This record gives sequence, structure tokens and C-alpha cells, in this order.
Amino acid sequence: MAIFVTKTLRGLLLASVVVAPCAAFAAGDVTQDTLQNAANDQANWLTHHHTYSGQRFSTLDQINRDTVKGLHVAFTYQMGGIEGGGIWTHGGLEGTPLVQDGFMYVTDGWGGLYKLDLHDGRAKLLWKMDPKTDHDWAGQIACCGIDNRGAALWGDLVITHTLDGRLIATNKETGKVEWFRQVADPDKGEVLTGAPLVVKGLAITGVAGGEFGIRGWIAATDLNTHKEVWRTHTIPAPGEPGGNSWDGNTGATGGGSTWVTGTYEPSSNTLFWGVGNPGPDWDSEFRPGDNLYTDSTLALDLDTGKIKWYYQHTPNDAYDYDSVSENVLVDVTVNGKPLHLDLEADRNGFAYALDRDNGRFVWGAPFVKKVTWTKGLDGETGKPVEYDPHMRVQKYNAAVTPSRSLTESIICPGNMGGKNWPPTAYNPTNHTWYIPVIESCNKITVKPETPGAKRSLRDWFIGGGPTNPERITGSVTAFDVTTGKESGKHETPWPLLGGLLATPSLVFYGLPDGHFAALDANSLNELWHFETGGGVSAPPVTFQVDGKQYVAVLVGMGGAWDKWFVDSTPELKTMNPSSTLYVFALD
Amino acid sequence: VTRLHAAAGLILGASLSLAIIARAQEPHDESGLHIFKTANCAGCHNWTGMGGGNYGGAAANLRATQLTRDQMIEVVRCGRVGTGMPHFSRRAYGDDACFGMAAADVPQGMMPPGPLRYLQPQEIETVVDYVTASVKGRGAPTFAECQAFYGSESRVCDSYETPAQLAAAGHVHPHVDVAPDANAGPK
Repeated sequence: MAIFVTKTLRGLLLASVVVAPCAAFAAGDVTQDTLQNAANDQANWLTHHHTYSGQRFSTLDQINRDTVKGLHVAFTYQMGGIEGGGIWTHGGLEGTPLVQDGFMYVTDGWGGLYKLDLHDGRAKLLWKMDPKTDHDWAGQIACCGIDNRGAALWGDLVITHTLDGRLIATNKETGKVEWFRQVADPDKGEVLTGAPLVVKGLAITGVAGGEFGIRGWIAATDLNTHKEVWRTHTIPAPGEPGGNSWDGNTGATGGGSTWVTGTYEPSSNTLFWGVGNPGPDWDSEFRPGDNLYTDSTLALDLDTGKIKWYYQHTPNDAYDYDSVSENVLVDVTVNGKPLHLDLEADRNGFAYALDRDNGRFVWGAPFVKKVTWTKGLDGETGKPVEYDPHMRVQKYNAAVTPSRSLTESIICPGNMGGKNWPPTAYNPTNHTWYIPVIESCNKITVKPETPGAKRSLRDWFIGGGPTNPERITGSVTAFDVTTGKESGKHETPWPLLGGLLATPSLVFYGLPDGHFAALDANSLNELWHFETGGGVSAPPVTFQVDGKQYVAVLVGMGGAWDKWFVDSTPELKTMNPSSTLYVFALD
Repeated sequence: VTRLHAAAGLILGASLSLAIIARAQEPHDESGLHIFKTANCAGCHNWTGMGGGNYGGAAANLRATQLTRDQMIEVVRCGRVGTGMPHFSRRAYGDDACFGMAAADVPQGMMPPGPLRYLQPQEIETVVDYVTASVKGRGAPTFAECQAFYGSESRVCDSYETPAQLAAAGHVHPHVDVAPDANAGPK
């Protein structure tokens, strides 16, 4: 209690000086101080990736390698949002629940927001905010399911996105919508699936729509004025720095989505954000050039959105290997040198460590068993060894790279990755980074797009498409980040579509067949599991209520898998849609 | 009297049954639309029927299709070998003839997938009649066609109208106020 009061007082001071001179902050209100100290806040899960650094590591240790065998279902809660819309037959759950002081804030696929009271060993609904999302408007142009990955907390507000492009501020106590603004435009093929990241009173929004010819962006909305303060386009216009990495006007439909929540470093006031694939996905000859800043990591100034540096993983991508993944910020010593690292596990099958102070490549290595599109990464630059900066169209391994002259090809990893949006987790006590892996190959058929062809802004724009003739599996793969070497791999019969949670001695993960399990943090041996009976496509979280540790995960198959990719996992065709919160505890 | 009543009853009953059968067999546009929606045809072919490229491969453009009614019925019953088009007949490649093939004749891995739900033979005819009447041969999709599919509650059809037309109809469509980009302009 003493700690709580102190934090609140500090929050009041900060609020009155920096953030909102007129706002009256009450106990439990979330301030910049609260969020920056989330790592030390044992009981709570206050921001999307647990901390601004994106480590998804909790020090809670009641549930550990010795006690985890006694873990069991404490309670469940049946959520809504399962109805379909547009081209989708059902919604799914991909959210990371937030927990503060025993209250959970959790979203369903349509952006329905639930406040649950978790005291007394059960989930009691206090309110539900129904954003009345326009199902068909949004669902018609959502490439990859009816999804919402969660909320953010600020002051006395809960901040969320909706698939139909809105940023919504809901009163934390009453569940009433205080205000909302349209941030993305579904008329241009834009939708919102990621959780907002709130820093210093700004809500940062990333956009989805890389399969619909958008020109991607990251936008900041001031939560006091409700106005947008900056919008950084991920594709420079002709004449701007980087603009010559596109031919003519091809950048206008060049993709570069930003739909996974980024990370933030307070000391340098820097946002780190991943950027998606270029469009059209598989017709790289449509858009000669490196296609900046697609498939890149961006470092941006929080206050202005100014790009500080970028690092591109797959220039002139012909595979849909986007780099939207979260950038995990860790400070370690690599080869005797203390470094501020930015870790990213890419769709292209490679794990990357950059020096986040300047964007320089530190190490890179494949985390999948099979990579065919390149022979590997250059040890100095981290670029694919075949990359030729003088070429406008990259061929990499020309024997497999989809092109107008190779219109059918099997690529490994397949276009889902590698690693998709499901988040990694990093355990600082053993310097180990855990990656949720999709071990895949799939078949790409190229159908070139016609320059200048008349198209609706709400039409797919991908230059071909994938099919899935080969079985796809998965793994949890561990890296020692001090060496950049793989240190373990726990193979799974299904792809990892839900993401990871690390605690001092455990790693939690779920599978699309309903398997939910804990691995030993060092050996990666499976120590405990529970069959949830529904597809897991969401990351687990852990928190404490009244001194007791819980682990929670949303269960209900979301995303693109069961519609577009299930041929590679035919047994999963029998999985039914569901929408359930599972919460586990020890006796 | 009893016999007459019984006979009248039989005739009435028979004619009622015939009427019900006749109604069920009528190629009713609305019921075809309902099947098009609930069997998830729009999931790949889109509400417009235009299909095209997506993450599931390219579904056929039903507006431009040259298939006859019988050919279309066979494709819906049997799916398309080697593609994602499902077979909607429970007995496809078995009792139900499919392109002259039995299940064993379909090359390994090329069997069309099962559907979200199987359709009765009558339902297959009804949905094909809907496609023939309301989709096949149509030009660019229109606002009216879109509203016939989705109703008027959603904004999904707004992009088929001009902003002026929407405003004239008293329809409020959201607007995005975009802030400047600090990275814009030459360095």
C-alpha cells in the first residue's frame, strides 16, 4: 500500500508539471511514471508488451519450474465478439489483457472492451464498452481476420482501436465512451488491429492494409486535445529522402503497414516500430528499388515522429516478408562490448540484433530450420548476401524468388513466416530471447499487377497469392542474445500463432489446437500443459491479485489461419470458433 | 359425406403439399442471396462475385463467368480440383458424379476442400440461379447492388457513391484529420 501511495503521489507531481496541468489525477490513474516503472510493478500488466521495452518478462515466481505442475484453471470468462462481418465468418481473440490492481481490461475481435473484477477468484463483468464497429465496412477489407490486440491505459481512460479505424477513449470507472476520433480510413483499405501505445499523453497508432495498396503510416494523437499531432508515412514521397527507392508513383500503393504495437526508450525519447511488406506483395518488378521503409525497423522521435534511423531487412521484397514485429529493447554485453540492443524476429526467418543507438547491425541468424530465399546474411551489414545495391529488382536466390519469369515457386519460410505478429519474450536473468516460430514453406503464384489499372481503393493489391501444399509446424526457439547463437528449440506440431510470456524459470505458449503449456526456461522441456479446447492465437500474461499469481490467456482462433492457411494443418479444420478468457492459478 | 370430406381433405392436402414444394423449388432470388451469404461464397468471391487475388489464391470472377447453369452447378457441387473452391455436395466424387472422376481419380493433395456447410441439391440450384440472375454478366458493381447485399446500416457501400451523392442523401461518412509529416519535403 505504501508503494502504491508513493507512486500515486509521484504520478500527481508528474501530471501537474508535465502532462496535464488541469487534469485531476485520482488514485489508480495511470501516468507516465506508472508506465515507465511497469517493470517494477510486480502485480500488474499495465502496457501492451508488459513494459515499454517489449520484453514480456514478469518477475512473478510463485508459479515456477517446481510448482507449475500444480497449475490449474482458476476461472474462465466467456467473451463476445465472435460474430462475422465482410468476408469473415467469425471473430477471434488475439488480445493481450491488461491488469491493474485486480481489474482486467480486455478486448474482443471487434474492439468490444470488457472490465473484469478479478478479486475473489472469479471474473466479474463490471462493464462492457461496445464500440459498435461497422462490421461489413471493416470486415470486407481486413486481410487477416476480425482481430484486436488490446488496450492501453492513461489517466482515468482506457484507450482502444477498432477495426473500422477509430481511436476510442473510455472512462475506466464507468465504461462510457468519453470521445473518439477516426484515425484510419477504411475507404482506402486501412484498418486497425493493434493495441495503441500510450507515451506521455500521446496515443500511437499503427495501421494495417498492406494487401490493399495503402501508403502506410504511424500517427500520434494527443489524449488531451484529441487531435493528431504527427503522422509519419512509412513510404517517402517522390523527392523526399528515400523517395528514389520507388519508381515513379509506385510508392503511393506501396504498403508499409505498421500494425504491431511498437516499443519505447525513455532515455532517448525514441519509439521503435516495425514496418510491413511492400505492395503488391509478390510482384516486385512492379516497384523497382529498395522500397523504403517497407520491411524495416524505424526509430522515431516521440514528440515529432521524425525518423532518427532505419534498418531494412529485405529490400525489394518479393515474398511478403514484412518486418512489423515488435522491437525488443535489451541492454547486454556482446563479445565484451556493452550494447543497447534492438531485437527483431522477422517474417523472413532471421533474428536480428541492432545497436538501437544508431541502427547498426550487430548480429543476425536464422531461427527457422529451413530458409531457401537467401544463402544467409552478410556478417557486416546483415543484408542478404545476394543483395546488390545497384540492382533495382533483387533476385536473391533466383531459383526460388517469385517473379514475372518464375510465376510459381515454393518459398521457405512461407509468407506467414518465420515469425508473424505473435510476440517474443526475453528473460534478462539468462539473457535468453524466445521466438514463437512458424516453420513453413508455401507456394507463391505471381499474377503481375498492371500499372495505372483502374482499381477500387478497397481491392486487394498483391500481385499473386499463396497456396499451402506443404505441412506447416512450429517451435519455440531460444537465442542467447550475448552471442547471437540459437540455444534451444522446442518443436511443436502446429505453428505458434499466439506469442510468448517469460518468467524467471518458465516460458508459456499456446497452440492453435488448444494446447497451452509451460516450458522450462533453460531446457525448453515441457513441464505442464492444459488442453483449452479452442485455438490459442493470443499471448499469455501473468499478474497478481491479492498476493496470488495468475496466468491468463485468451482462447478463440483469430487471424488469417483458418481461412487462408489451414490446408497446411488440415486437422485444424475441425476447430470451432470460440471466445473465452482462461485464468490459471496454483492452489 | 364422410367420404366426400375425406376426398376433399386429400385433395386439399395434396394441393397444399404441391404448393409448398412449388414454392421451395422456385428460383427465388432472395433465398439464393441468403445461401450465397451463409455458405460463405462472398468469403472468396466477394459480395460482388468478382473474386480475384487474395491470401486464399484467386477466386473466379462470377460476373465474367462463361459457365452454363449446369456447369456452374457441377462446380458448386464438386468444387475445383487443385484450388480452394470447396465441394458443396456431401456426396461429391462418390455417388455424385464430378467431372467424370471418383475420389480415387483425384490426384494426391488436389481434392477440393470441404465447405463451411454442405448444401442440398436444391440449395445448389437456388444459389446458381441467384448468380445467374444477379451476378453473371453484370458490369461494375453499384451502390444499389451493394445495398441489396449488405443493407443500408453499414458504410461498406459508401465508396460506390460520390461524396456529393452521400451528402445529398444525408449520409454522414467519417473524415480523417491528418497531421503534418515531419519527414516530408526534401532534406
